[in-house]
Amino acid sequence: MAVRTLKRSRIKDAKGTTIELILLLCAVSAVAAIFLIIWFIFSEGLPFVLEAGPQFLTSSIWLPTDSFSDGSWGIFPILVGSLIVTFGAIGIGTPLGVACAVFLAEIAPPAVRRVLVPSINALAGVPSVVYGFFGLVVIVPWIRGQFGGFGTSVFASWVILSIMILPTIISISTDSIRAVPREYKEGSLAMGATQWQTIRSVMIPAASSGIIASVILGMGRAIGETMAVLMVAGNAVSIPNSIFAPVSTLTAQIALEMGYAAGAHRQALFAMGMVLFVVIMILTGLANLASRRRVT
Amino acid sequence: MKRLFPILLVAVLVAAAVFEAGCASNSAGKLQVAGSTSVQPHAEVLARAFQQNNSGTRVYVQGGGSSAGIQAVGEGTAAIGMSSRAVKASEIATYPTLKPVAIAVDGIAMIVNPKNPVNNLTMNQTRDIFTGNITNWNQVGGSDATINVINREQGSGTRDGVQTIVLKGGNFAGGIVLSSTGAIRTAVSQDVNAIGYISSAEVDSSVKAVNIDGAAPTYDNIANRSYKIQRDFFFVTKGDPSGLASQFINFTLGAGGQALLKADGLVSISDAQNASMTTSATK
Repeated sequence: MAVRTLKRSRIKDAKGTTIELILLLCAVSAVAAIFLIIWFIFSEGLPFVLEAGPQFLTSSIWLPTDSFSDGSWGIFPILVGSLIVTFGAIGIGTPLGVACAVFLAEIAPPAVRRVLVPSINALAGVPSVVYGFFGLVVIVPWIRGQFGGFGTSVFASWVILSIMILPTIISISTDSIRAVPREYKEGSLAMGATQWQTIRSVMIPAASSGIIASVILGMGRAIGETMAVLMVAGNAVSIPNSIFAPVSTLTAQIALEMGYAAGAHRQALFAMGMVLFVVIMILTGLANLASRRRVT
Repeated sequence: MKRLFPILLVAVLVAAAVFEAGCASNSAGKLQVAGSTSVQPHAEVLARAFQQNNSGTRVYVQGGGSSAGIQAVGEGTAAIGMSSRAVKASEIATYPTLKPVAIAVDGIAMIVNPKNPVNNLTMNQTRDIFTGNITNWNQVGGSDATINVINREQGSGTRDGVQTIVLKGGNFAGGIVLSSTGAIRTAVSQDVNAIGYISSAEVDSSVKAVNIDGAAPTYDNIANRSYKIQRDFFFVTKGDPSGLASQFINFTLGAGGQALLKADGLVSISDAQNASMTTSATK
């Protein structure tokens, strides 16, 4: 008996080591991939930025394929467009998402929750091109009818993106509200606070770092979203003068032009990708900082 | 960010597959054709017929845009590049042996919503609309409403054609950017105040093509060059075409291929040359 057990465990060990090795290989390849991407984007984009100079970030003229001049490379309106679209979507999505999270975590009866949670998860599974298509055939004509203009606009991208980031905000915020120690809530209720007072003054503040992290992750999704924005934003390279004017974002512009881009134009798109990468890295860094402070 | 990995992996695999297929294009009955999305649907029709006539051959037609197609030919990843514009001097400088051959003529129709009362525009009015000097339909005989200009993206051969022929090299101002013929047609069909431009072969009843300087973008008007906004479609090869590529181009230029293109809404290159020996402005 004892011999058998020993044998078996030795076999298990050999198996275990192999599996460990395979897992290590997977982990290394993932890390290698991220460094390859960083290296690739920067090696293509950085020389271009150094050559184009600060004008790349500050100029408003974007004519990369213009065969009639030397090409002007200014991504300022596109960068501003990306930020307007992202922060607007966050502005709409955050109150909706947090309210929904509070409802799910504190108020909703289990039966309602059983319906709502899968629905919200399904929202996360909808492909972005479907969001874009929905925006194009429903939201855009509605905006055109109500407010005039093209319909494809800053506002249309806000609406679509705010829906797209809801699942991220809701699920992480719900978790962090649920993670608030029971004693906080019971203490507050025992002191005579109403349910609403408890939520507002105890639960949300205690879960705030998780909520902030969820918003920043949502922001990362919004700024990186390409297809849906491409379809509803109008993609005009100019700083929009109203929320019903068309706008272009870094991601949409790269996707629009990469098929045609050659030479310096291609490098310019990589440089745009680099700018986007830096912005997203900053956001991810902020998310990590915020969630590290999380009270659990 | 996590989503980047699978996308990159797929991209690498596809690129590898395309590269291999491209390398093999001159042997084993495989032909790789890539380039302009305006030419692509017509090339697919040609490819189907060609495959039926030559059993065992496979013609792969890919989009990507004129520039990408020309680059693919230059790099040797495709045997034939499709282009909806003439090859640029800068491209000849990079790949000196590129050989374009015109396969058909295509009009670029200025399309508006069927409910728009405007039926005629002059070339100058069209230019002013796209450069932002005319912004209201009542300046060109329409109702009092802002003109919603819809452009193609930078690098599009159709946009390039309009910029060369209509804008005479000037720059587009304002308007939104959509990335395909279908998207522009849909947008114009939904918006009473929109104007856009698409290949005249792609005009259907959901939109209305306006006359330019009195000429409608009809077959005869494009063939006799009285409809001015037109460009040639090209097949581009690296050096003289050989093997399957040469067969495919001969098929395209022959009676059978030209009849297919004509049925598809394009103007046969022989009709156009018979009507007038002046070459189109894109050249």
